[in-house]
Parts: sequence; structure tokens; C-alpha cells
Amino acid sequence: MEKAVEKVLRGFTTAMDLPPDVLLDMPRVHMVGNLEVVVDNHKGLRQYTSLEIRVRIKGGVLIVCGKKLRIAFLTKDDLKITGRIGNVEFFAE
Amino acid sequence: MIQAVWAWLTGYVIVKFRGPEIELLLNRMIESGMTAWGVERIISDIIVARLSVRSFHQLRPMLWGLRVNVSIVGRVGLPFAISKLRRRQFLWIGMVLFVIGLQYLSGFIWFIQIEGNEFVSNEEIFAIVLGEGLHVGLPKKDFSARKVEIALLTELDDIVWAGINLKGSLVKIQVVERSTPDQERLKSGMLVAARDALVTQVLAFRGTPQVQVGATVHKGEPLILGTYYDIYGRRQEGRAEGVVLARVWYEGIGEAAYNKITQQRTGNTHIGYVIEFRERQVAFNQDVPFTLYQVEKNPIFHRVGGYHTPIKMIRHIYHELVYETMVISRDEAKETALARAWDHLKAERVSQDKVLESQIEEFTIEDQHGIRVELLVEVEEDIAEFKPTPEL
Repeated sequence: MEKAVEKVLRGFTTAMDLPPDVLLDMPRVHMVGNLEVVVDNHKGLRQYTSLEIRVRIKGGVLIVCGKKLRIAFLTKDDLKITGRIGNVEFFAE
Repeated sequence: MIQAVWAWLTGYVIVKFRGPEIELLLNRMIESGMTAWGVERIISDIIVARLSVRSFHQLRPMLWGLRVNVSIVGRVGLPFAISKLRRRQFLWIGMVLFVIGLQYLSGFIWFIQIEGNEFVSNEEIFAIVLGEGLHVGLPKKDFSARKVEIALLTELDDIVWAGINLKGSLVKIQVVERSTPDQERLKSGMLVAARDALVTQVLAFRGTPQVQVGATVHKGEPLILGTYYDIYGRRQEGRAEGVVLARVWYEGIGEAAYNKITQQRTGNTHIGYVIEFRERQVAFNQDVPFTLYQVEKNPIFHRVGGYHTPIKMIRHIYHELVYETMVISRDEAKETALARAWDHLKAERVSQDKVLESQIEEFTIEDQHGIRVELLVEVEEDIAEFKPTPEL
């Protein structure tokens, strides 16, 4: 049932050319070079070390790897990671 | 930036979280609407984060059921700074005394600056203002700018205007000097040869040329007379002006011995200090243990911003010296002698760039064990020299 609703919403956003993060509760990820990553609409932290940060998002986990990783700010909706970003991966669950 | 300023104004705490479930605590915190910033993992089970004071007070119920210890490692911001200052009464007393002291000292003149003088020296102006009682350390209430201005105008004939401004503890003396037409430029006369020479070019701007290109002239011989005829054909006596280029020969002699005595530092030094306050000097550690030495003076404290301080501290470094005699080659001696010959010519204002031809002759000085170099150079230069008409 949930998947069917999501499918309808996805079709609706595509048809209406709406941003998917608004209706589908998807995360929005911004990167500034390899210096910072900002994740909007996250679901909390799963793991934090200075080499790897796992962020829960809808439908999976966002993994940010790098060196000297630091969480510049952390709020209910936004999360900003700074440091020397190596790679950003998305794992579906 | 604005957030950082706001956080500082409202105050925040740096909190250390210790335990294996810190991420869960952070999730609980953000779920309840808190904001954490500067989150940093120090070691595997310690995370440091910054929280507002209000958020920190809301933290206790969230810790329930979690294996996390929380402690404050720092308090930052204006509210904490104020509460710290309240406890330090002597600091307040010190600050009040500092302000009172500053207020008291600002009632004196500490700097005097002179501007606008070119021909009248600073010393002359200082002597007059000192005579009127203006000096460093004078209370401002005893200072009369008008009195000093009048003294400057009456005692220095070359000054036509003087203005004195007091700004803080700085007295700025501005003067305007008398500008008179150059009396020399008003005299009539002719141009004569400054040296014996062979004329190569004559350009008379005013007056009557007396020599032609190719002529040999001797020192003092007239080159351009001041006599000219005006537009009405009347004979006038004026000031001759023009350029007379000529080839001139100069001779420079330089000598050098086959050995030279040089001063060498032994590496031994002695340091002394001198404190100067106006004309008074107090010296410390000035008993120099060397017979032959060189002094290097380094001012340590003499300026604040762009102004000289009334008290100066100077470090004197005495370097011990010894004389050493070194034997040098003939070529090296010749080079030194030639350099001295050039110095000799430079003293006669001969520029090395303007030399057309040069000739070098060298002689050995047997009795003094050295070398003599005679340098003959040919240059082209303006030999015209103004000679005023004798006054009757």
C-alpha cells in the first residue's frame, strides 16, 4: 500500500515537474567541492567517526567517507559535514 | 558568522559525551528540536559538541536508558564572561584605575610635530616653542597656542604664518615659509667657460654667442654675452641664457699599496644600554672590556605609531676589533687604485656614464711598494657658467 502511494506520488511529481524532495520526503544533498556536504531532510545519525559518517535517510543510508570529518551543525532537518571529503555513497535498504 | 555572534552573545557550553551510544543521544536531541554545532569525535568513545545553555538544561531526561556520560568542558560567551568578571573585583578596580590614569595622562602634551618647514630647521622652531614653555609633559591647561604662534611669527622672519592645533596629546605646529623671487635670477650678466674645453655645440636662448663650434676656450672666457637687441632694435643688457656643450678632459690619480689593513671582528661582544629622556641620559653596563671596538646602536623603544616617545631606550652592542694586514696582488692593487682615481673624478662631478674616451697609465711606486694609476677621461658637458655683471 505504502509503495503504491509512493509510486503515485512519484508519477505526480514527475508529471507536474515538482521537486521530489517536497512530496516524497527525499533527502537533498549539496556538496561544495570536497570541503563540505550538506544533507537536508535526513533522519538522524547512524554512526559518526572522523573517517566515516553514516546518515539515515528515507530509503537507505548516506555514507560520507573522508578525513578529519566534523559535523559543523546538526538540526532536525539539516546536517552539515566538513573535512576532506573522499566519497559519498548511497545505500538502499 | 551571524549565528556565531548570536551564540557568543547568548552563551553556549562545550559538552563532552562519553560512551558507546552517543549517536542515539544526538538523534534524540535533534528530534526534540535542539541544535548542536561543532560536533567532533575526539577518540572512539568521546565526542565534543557545542550546545546552547537552554539545550544543555533539557539534556538530562534524554540520557535515560543510554550509556552516555555528559560533562561540560567549557563555557563560552558573554553571560559567562560577565559572571567571571563579577567575581574578579580587583580586575574592576584595575580597570577603573587604568581609565582614571589614562584620563589623567591625557591631560598632558606628549607629542610635538612640526609640518611645512623646508628652510627653517626643526631645531630653530623647537627652541622658540621651548622658550614659550611648550614641551613634552606640559599640562594642556597651561598651554596657549596663540602665545606660541605669535612667538614664532615675531622671532622667525622667514615664517609668514603659523598655526598650532592640539589634538589629544599631540601638538601639531604648521608653518608657512616666506617665498621670495630668487634675486640671483634678476641679475644681468654673461655665460663664461667653467673649464678649458673644445666647443661642440652652442645654443643661445638669450644673448649674443661669442664662440663657434670647434673653438678652444679657456676657463673664464666669455661664451654668451648678456647683450641682445629687443624688437625695436634697441640694445639691451640682460641675463645671458643658453647651453654650450664642449669636450672637457679630466685627470684623476689613484694609488694603492700591495697590502691592505682591514678591521676584523673577533666575535667577542659586550652589550650596554642607554635610556634617554630629553637631554638626560642614563647608561648601564658601559664598561667596555675591549681597547678597540665598533659600536652598533639599536633603538629598542623610541617610537609609538609614527611618533617619537619622550623616553628612548637604546642598546649598544660593542664588537671587539683587530687589525689584520693582507698582501694583495698587483691586479687587485691596480683595481683599487683605479677605483680611487674614479672617486677622485667623481669628486669633480664627472659621471662615469658620460665619458666618451678614457686613457689609463700605470706607474710602480718603488719606495712605497705600490701602484699609481693616472686616469684621463674625455666628457661632453655644458661648460657655461653665469657671471653677473659687476654692480657699479
